[in-house]
Amino acid sequence: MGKRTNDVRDWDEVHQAILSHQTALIRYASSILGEREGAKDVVQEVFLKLCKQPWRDVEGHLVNWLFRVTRNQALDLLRKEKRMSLFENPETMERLAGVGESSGQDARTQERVGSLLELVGQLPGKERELVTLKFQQGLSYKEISEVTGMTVGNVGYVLHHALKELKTRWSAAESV
Amino acid sequence: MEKISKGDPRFTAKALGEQSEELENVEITSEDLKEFEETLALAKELENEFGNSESEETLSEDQISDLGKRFEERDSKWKLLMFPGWVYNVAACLAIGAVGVVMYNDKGLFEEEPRRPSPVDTVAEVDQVAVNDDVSESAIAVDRFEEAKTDRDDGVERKTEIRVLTKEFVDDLGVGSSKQLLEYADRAGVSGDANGTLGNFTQPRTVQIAETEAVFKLSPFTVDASGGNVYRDTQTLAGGRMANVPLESASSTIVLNVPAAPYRSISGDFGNVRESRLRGYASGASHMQAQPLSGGIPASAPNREGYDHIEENDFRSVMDNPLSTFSIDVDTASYSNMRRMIEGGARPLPDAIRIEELINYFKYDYAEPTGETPFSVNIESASAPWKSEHQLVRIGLKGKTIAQDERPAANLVFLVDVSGSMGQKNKLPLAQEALKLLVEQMGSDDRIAIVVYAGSSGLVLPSTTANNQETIQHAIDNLRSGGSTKGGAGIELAYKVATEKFIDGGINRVVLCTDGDFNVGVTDDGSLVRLIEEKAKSGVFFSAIGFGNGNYQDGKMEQLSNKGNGNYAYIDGKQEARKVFVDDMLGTLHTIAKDVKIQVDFNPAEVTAYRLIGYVNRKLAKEDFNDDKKDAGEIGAGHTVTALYEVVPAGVEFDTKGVDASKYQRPATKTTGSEEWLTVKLRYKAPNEDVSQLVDFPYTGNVEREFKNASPDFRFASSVAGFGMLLRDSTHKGNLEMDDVIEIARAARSKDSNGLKSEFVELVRKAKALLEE
Repeated sequence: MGKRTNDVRDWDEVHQAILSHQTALIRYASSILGEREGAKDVVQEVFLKLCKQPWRDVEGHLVNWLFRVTRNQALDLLRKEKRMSLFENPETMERLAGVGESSGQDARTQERVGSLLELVGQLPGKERELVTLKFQQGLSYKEISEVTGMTVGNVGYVLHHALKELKTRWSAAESV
Repeated sequence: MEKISKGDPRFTAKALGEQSEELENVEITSEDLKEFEETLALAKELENEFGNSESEETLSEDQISDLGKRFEERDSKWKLLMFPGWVYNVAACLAIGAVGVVMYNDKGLFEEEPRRPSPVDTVAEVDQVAVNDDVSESAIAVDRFEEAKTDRDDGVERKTEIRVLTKEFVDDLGVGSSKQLLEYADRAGVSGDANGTLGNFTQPRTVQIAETEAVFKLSPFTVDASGGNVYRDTQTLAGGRMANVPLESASSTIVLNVPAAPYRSISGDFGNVRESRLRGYASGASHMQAQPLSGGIPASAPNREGYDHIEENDFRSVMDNPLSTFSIDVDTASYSNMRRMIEGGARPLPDAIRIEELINYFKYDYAEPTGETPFSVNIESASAPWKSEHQLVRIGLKGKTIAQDERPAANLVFLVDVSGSMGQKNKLPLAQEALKLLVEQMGSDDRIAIVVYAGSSGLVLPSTTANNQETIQHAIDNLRSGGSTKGGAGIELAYKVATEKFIDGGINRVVLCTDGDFNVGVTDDGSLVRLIEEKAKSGVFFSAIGFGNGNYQDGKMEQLSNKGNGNYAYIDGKQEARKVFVDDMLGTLHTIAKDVKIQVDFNPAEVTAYRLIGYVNRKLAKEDFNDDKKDAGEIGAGHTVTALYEVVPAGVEFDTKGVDASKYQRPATKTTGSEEWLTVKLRYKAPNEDVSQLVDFPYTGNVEREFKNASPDFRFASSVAGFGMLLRDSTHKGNLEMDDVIEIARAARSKDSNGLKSEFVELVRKAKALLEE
């Protein structure tokens, strides 16, 4: 049994982690969920898990850990929504399936933060998520792969499509 | 230097400044340089916008102080983090290749102030931890699992699932690594994926791993969980089978205490051992226990076919039960499925044999209906070939034949599974051929649409009138397999299209073509059935066509089509495709009567006991006969439906199995003046009506009539029934042998225009050889 199992950080350490990472995590969770409020709840749960986490589990890769757990939490929330609305709401289904025009609706209810970000908000869930990780967090493909559990190749593939799509919509928007 | 163009994902990677050796050795083709510049500009702009929009989204002070409070309380929790030794065994095992995902309900995080009091029906608060080869993560999984176990006394009902995915399962999916699997699972909506889920239990859920637990490791198996609904409500979940991993001395057992579940069984293909079954009890807990597996991982290819257990009908005393009630069944899937197994050199699994479907695979030469009833009823009897003192009574229905040009217009939406597993030659390519054969039969009044489902779903052919043959054939040719299966969105879309193009008085139908791995999610099976049932009421019926083998989910397919006023066929080759889509198309698609129920009223003066052969899943309570709300089978144009009863005539000795006859009850004596054996009563509804019609047909048999004097159709159907009984190793098979079946069938195959009856004889020969091995 690892010696450091009981190595507990003090609250200041956790608090510091909250202050440093909450904004990024909330953004990340919103990119998965397509909305802001649920994202905060998700992030609160993530930090709660951090409180209960043996230090050795996060030591050295705290940021990765936070993102990964945020992702799991957010996806669970989505799944829950899905279960409740399956067959009642094809739009949700489509959003979850990552097809079609997807989350436009949710994105539109968000505050307007700029035309390009709006376009990002209309991407299917997975693309939106990766674009956020890439451009907001500045993560490399490999880091994205570590957070999401996708292969590097797959990350590249999804981002490639996302950018292609964004480019098309961007130039369409510009020309209007 | 390798040149890459804008279609290559590396193009984007390079524009985004990814660093890798590979990228250093590629360069953008000159014609795409402009595009490259644009991508660079876009990337820059994205960076800027994301950077500038950094509005300070933070947790509220309340949320943070909540966290602080929880942190102070954590000490009491730390003991959960002291992992027992076996945790490390779990981790060790996982490291050698198994991938596990443990899912369970998150407990309410804030006990003082429960934020989400979940009612029973929102059992979906699931936490998921991916356990891959990362030891620390598996520790997290176990930790959370412990929490879920210990923290269940808050009065909130929840569901717990243990979900374990195995290496074999991963391989079977065709994904290369556990990470890809999780990615796949995300796409398929993990919890919405029936495969690999063990347990779907909705009531108080203690899930314990026994103290002696070392570790468990799974390989494919099937869990059937029937929810106690009398009318077939069985969920077939494909998954992995528990097997021992010999770590230290511990045995591996999972005990799932599931109170109030009337029936659960677990069955599977245990290596090469056939199946094994454990049952729970009506009132108590059911236990599923891992079967030790000598060689570790089974050498044979995983078999994830799922079949519901079939318990043969026994003789019933006419005194006690004069009424026998069942729903007709025109399905034939069991026959072609059995044929596939025998042709493949395997003895068919008994539960894969539904005798009525074997009998109904063949067309019989019954009289055309005259008068108002849309079908004719043909009753015949003779002695039973396997027990000459018993009589067989055959009830044969024939639906009115409708000429091709009198057929109502059809509005068909094909819902085609294009998941990776459909890529095999006997699946999607066969489905494409079958569809094309069908399209050739259709005309300008008919409409066809195609919806595909896999990782994503979509309409690949909008509803198109069938005179656009080329467009349709082209769309069919272009179906490609790839991706995972996700049926939910697809089926929704298919119904949407069918409803939009609804033809009043026409044939409106969604036809599912799949290898059966219809992953709409364990918890959603119920919703799926409800959806299909509901749409059937609105006039859009549902048919299922099965292809291929390996992970074929027979039980679920049958259930779905039953609920959808539909039929269910299994296609194992081009000939069968022709039979289903061309020869039987009218009947398959054009329902002439629905909710057809049969109730046979036996006369105790003439008949001591009876046994309905087959139709095990179609039995109805006697009250259901007159209840128009109770769903039953459909009959299509030109279809024949046959049911056989084995009856014990009065005067023939019959073992009442130790129950004394009532001292007071006496058979109705001949004073009634009736020598009728029985009366066949039928209820049916016209396809667009809700009120049933009743017709009845009294029948008087003759005990002297020998089997050899019966009609060829009668004898042939009897031989098929006998074959089914032998394959199921029925206790009622008497002195019947495969050779008798061959002889009877050979002599009785009259009017065998499509050669199927001769083929049957061959099949019996092969089966005989297989059984003798």
